[in-house]
Amino acid sequence: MPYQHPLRRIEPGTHPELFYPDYRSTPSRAPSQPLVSLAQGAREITVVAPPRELLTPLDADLTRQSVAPPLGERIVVSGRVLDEDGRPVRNSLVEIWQCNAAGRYAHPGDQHDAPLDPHFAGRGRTLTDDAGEYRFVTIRPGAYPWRNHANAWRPAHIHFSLFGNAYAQRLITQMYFPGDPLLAFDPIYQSVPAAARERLVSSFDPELTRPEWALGFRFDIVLRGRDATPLGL
Amino acid sequence: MSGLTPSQTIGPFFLEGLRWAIDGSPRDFGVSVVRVTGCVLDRDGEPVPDALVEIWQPALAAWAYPGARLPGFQRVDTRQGGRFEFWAEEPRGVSTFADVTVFARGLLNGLFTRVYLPAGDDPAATPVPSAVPEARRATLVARRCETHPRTYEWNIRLRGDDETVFFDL
Repeated sequence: MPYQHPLRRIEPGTHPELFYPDYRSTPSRAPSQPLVSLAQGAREITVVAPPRELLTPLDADLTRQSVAPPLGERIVVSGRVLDEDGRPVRNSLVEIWQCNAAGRYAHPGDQHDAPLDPHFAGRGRTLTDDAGEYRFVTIRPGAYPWRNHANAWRPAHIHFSLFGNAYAQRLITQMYFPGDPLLAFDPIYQSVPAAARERLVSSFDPELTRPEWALGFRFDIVLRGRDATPLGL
Repeated sequence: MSGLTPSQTIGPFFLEGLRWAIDGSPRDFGVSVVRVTGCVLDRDGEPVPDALVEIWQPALAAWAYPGARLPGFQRVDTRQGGRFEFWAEEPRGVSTFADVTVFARGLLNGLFTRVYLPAGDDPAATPVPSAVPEARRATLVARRCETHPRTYEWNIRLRGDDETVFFDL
């Protein structure tokens, strides 16, 4: 279904400020000039999802991508991708990546003193269904240290990449876990305006939990919705 | 209704997660294309070797070669010394443009920009949106490469001198 409408302006107080010195790598990379508003154009164009044949069910199960299961607590991570008006974002690509249970990424740049798991690559992808729902099976990631400041640790998190149905719905974010004491100390999480911050924290969900198999965490994602006012009026 | 989900940085370790769709290789796009090459640069003009650049061109979205990962998109990274390379519709008598998104460690939100490929020899004649300040228009226009045919050059400067224009779409 072509996306006919321009997208609504982003609600102020949603996204972090780009220049946020507590996150030490922003001063050299954050743009200094104000963003230029574009009245129309890119926002209106539909994004086509990859053909379903390109993805397999195992792409969404990070515990079954090797010859043996990874170490760690198996979890189900699921939710709905909606727009601001509650409309499901259907047939859209969702990608995730994360470190392993020990807090180590399968990436050559990560030299943290924690073991790699030969059975965990830490990446998955899926398409949302007709209700906008996605579902991954993975293991709970560990916290890991980083050199932003003394004794800095990232809270456990899963990286999410979403395409939505329209180009300007594109979003990369991180999902956190409820009750994590590290959230209060994490500049990346704290960079989000206070009223919006908790939207990044998943909820423990007994309904998603499968007895004797995996805990479940729900994480709904809300993308930009349609602009009710037609252009020019 | 529901509040928008906030953005967070892509971080430095995205390659394993996103590499399945990293593809800047030449292929049969169904339209005549040229190469665009450049560098992502930081405040000090230093290359950013851990950025992700995605190029969105609806004109190229009609193609669907076998195994196309993200129809209409090219996804490239800047591992090679901050450099990126992608394909854009050739400007033939009329300028073309591609929508570009940039993600990187140190960016708490993705950045939207555009690269325009001028039709003639006068880049000033390129139809960059009027909302772009006059003094910054050139940051969105690729220059024809003098040494390689069918190649344009365009850098993405995140901050500082000749900082690229980024959009609020």
